[in-house]
Amino acid sequence: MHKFHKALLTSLVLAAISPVSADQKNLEPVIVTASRTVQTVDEALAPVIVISRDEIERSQAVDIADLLRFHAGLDIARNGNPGSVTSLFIRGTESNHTLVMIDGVKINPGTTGGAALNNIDPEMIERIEVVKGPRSALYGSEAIGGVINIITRRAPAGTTVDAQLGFGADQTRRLGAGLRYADDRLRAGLQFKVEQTEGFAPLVVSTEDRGFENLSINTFAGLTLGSGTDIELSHWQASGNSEYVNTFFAPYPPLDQDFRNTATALTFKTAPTDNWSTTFKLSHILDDIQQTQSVDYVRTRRNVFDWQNDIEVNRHHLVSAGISLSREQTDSLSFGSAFDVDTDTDAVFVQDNISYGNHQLLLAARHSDHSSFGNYDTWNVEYGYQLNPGLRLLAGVGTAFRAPDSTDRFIAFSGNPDLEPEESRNVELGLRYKPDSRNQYSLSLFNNRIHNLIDFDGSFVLQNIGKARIRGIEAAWQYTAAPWDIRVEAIAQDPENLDNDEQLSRRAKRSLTTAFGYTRNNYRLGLDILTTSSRDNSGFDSVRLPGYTLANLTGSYKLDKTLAFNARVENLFDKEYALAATGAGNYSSRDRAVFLELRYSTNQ
Amino acid sequence: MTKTISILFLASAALHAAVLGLVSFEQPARLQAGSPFTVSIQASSPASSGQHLEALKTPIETVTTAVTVNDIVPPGPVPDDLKTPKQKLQQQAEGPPQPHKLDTHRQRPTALPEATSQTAIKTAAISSQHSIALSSEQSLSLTAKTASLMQANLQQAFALQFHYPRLAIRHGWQGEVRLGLRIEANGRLSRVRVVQGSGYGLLDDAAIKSLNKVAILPQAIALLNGNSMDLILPVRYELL
Repeated sequence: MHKFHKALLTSLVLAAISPVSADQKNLEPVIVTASRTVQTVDEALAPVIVISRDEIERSQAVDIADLLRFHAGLDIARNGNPGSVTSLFIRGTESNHTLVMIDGVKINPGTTGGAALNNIDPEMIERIEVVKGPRSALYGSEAIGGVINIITRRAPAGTTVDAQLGFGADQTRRLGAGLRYADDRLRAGLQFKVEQTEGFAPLVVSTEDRGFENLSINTFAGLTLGSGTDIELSHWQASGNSEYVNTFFAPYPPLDQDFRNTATALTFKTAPTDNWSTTFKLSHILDDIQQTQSVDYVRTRRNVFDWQNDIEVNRHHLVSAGISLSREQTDSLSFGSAFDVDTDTDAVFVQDNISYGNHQLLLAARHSDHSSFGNYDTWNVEYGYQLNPGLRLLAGVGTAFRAPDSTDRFIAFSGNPDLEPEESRNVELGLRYKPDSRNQYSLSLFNNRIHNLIDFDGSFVLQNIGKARIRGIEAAWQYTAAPWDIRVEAIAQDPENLDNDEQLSRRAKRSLTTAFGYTRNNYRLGLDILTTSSRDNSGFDSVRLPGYTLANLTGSYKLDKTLAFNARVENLFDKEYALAATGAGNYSSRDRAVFLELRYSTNQ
Repeated sequence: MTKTISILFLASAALHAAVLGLVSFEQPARLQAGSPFTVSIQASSPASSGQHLEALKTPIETVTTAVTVNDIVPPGPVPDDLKTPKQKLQQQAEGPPQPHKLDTHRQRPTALPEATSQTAIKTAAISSQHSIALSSEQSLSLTAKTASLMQANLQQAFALQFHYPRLAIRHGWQGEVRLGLRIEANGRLSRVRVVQGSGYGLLDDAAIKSLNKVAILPQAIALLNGNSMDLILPVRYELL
């Protein structure tokens, strides 16, 4: 049969018996390697952005929104100063259409909007994986626009110690340290970081600086018992205080709130048979905001039990199946109006990841039973074809849904208890082309239709009024060849409300991001540029937020094997721009600002 | 406002064009690096990839060093099967090398989505001739180079046989399995078994299945001279 393989095995044998061989019987080991897959499972056929630890460190970003915005198709809106409410719009979908996880644990609050991206400190993070497109068949409610999985830092082999000290504009101070240990059996780590800034005035018309304080902690301990059995306890938390202003009337009195976000998980994995791995995960999240000047608060607590089985039936079929039981409690007191809502969501899912030669097919389905909204079925069908070693063609169809959150339903004034879940169907075509080791191209076309979109319809009560359609095209080019690394991403999209033919709020139609890196010897220079077109502010006003170009310059210099000095100039051209507006006018954004940082690590 | 944006986009595009012009003069590399979803195979010799590239550039020079089988075969009765590889070798030593003819139909990347199969087969074909030259005394001076060349070949050859089970990739399973095998005098592989497991049945199983696909090694017959040989083949599964 494989004639030339035999020839080669013969050569191997000859190598072993020839005089040059050190051992007459033992052959040189054959090493079979594979890249660790992205942990957000079955991303292979969907558009994915991976932000690595390297990129995180180089960016010196305050929160992950500042990292994400430099990728096309990830729009952010922010109510001014650091720590203020920050929304992310993936591919023109709503800000609450993105499911955000920390180490696989969903952290979206059940009360309002999206996850608190503004509180997630990049120092805790090893990698961010963004999967665009509907993922509800795999992850349940909210995954209409996409999924973000934040993987916190884990321990490399041995003992590692790191520390960071930084200063910068607006009296920003940061201090962090980490200690990690890992051997074949045991791993453990503790990382903390304090970020403190006096901030700036959130509104263009307000004068008082509003600050932000965030203490982040990530800790874990795990034990590998061999043969696929592993147990781990992990905990992430961010807590602190964020200041803002009352935007309803001048002179915009200062307000502030305490926040606390946590995600805790106990994970047990084992392999009952050679080709079957089973994972049990118990997780708990807290998303808590306490207003300091009043008794108002908003809180989500959620316990989830996940059981997932992965079975490699044979070389062609990798089947996953499992259940997810979620018990969520949301309560709030806001402007004298309170709610306390319990939501149970039970789901069962199955998927088959099929691989036959050059063909790859993903079939996934999920049945969700929501205590308030009944049953929802979602599915994904994705197909990939490897046309030649460098070129892969992709096609996919998927559905998703989002159950209205407690705020949508019960908040004072605007809540509507009769709301139905939003539903979406996305069709996608794409290609990935890798002609050589330096260049990588990708292209995606998508058409995402959302029904029962929850929005205001002129009155101040939320309704399932909308039908929205977001069509778009994304293109990316990545070039890596020392000393250069370059990334260019562009998106042109039409996020349209089909009912009134208007552009959906706060999403740009076009954006372009570029990242240039130059690394030589012990220094590195980076330039990130983001250009985005104008956006509509909201359905309540006719404010148009102009397009803008933002450039960040970063530099890093390695003083020796353990010490590095970093500098960053944010908003290099000192461009004045707005990411959101309110009745009191535009929220402000940071002017040109310089940050300096010293990093120590035994593992550089 | 639209005008401003258009200008911004144009400027940005111009910047990109400049960058493209700046960097595109560099030739693309001949070998492809593994993409995030590639299963690639690597030999253990750290120098192998460099040597491998070198070999690619100068195939003719190295092929002409092939020697006749007369130097290899020890005295004694020669089985009939031997004549085929021997004749082949002599032909190759006499005539101009045609390394690309061997089994090129196997280039189709069956199980490996983005493997560098084109390059893989080419070098494999070239060096299958070399490997036989290796055991000759005349070629001893070349052994260092040839040995590393073989490492590179192995790297490519096993890429087509061994695969990393997807479940193992998903859960980060790694380890080394040591396979025992016997090469019978007739070139057949027998007694393929796990001598020392990796700790993961799935990896052990995959290694056994892969090796079983190489059922017979006709080229070994000449060298074994009627004897059989027991060997240990370590297979290391590593996630990068």
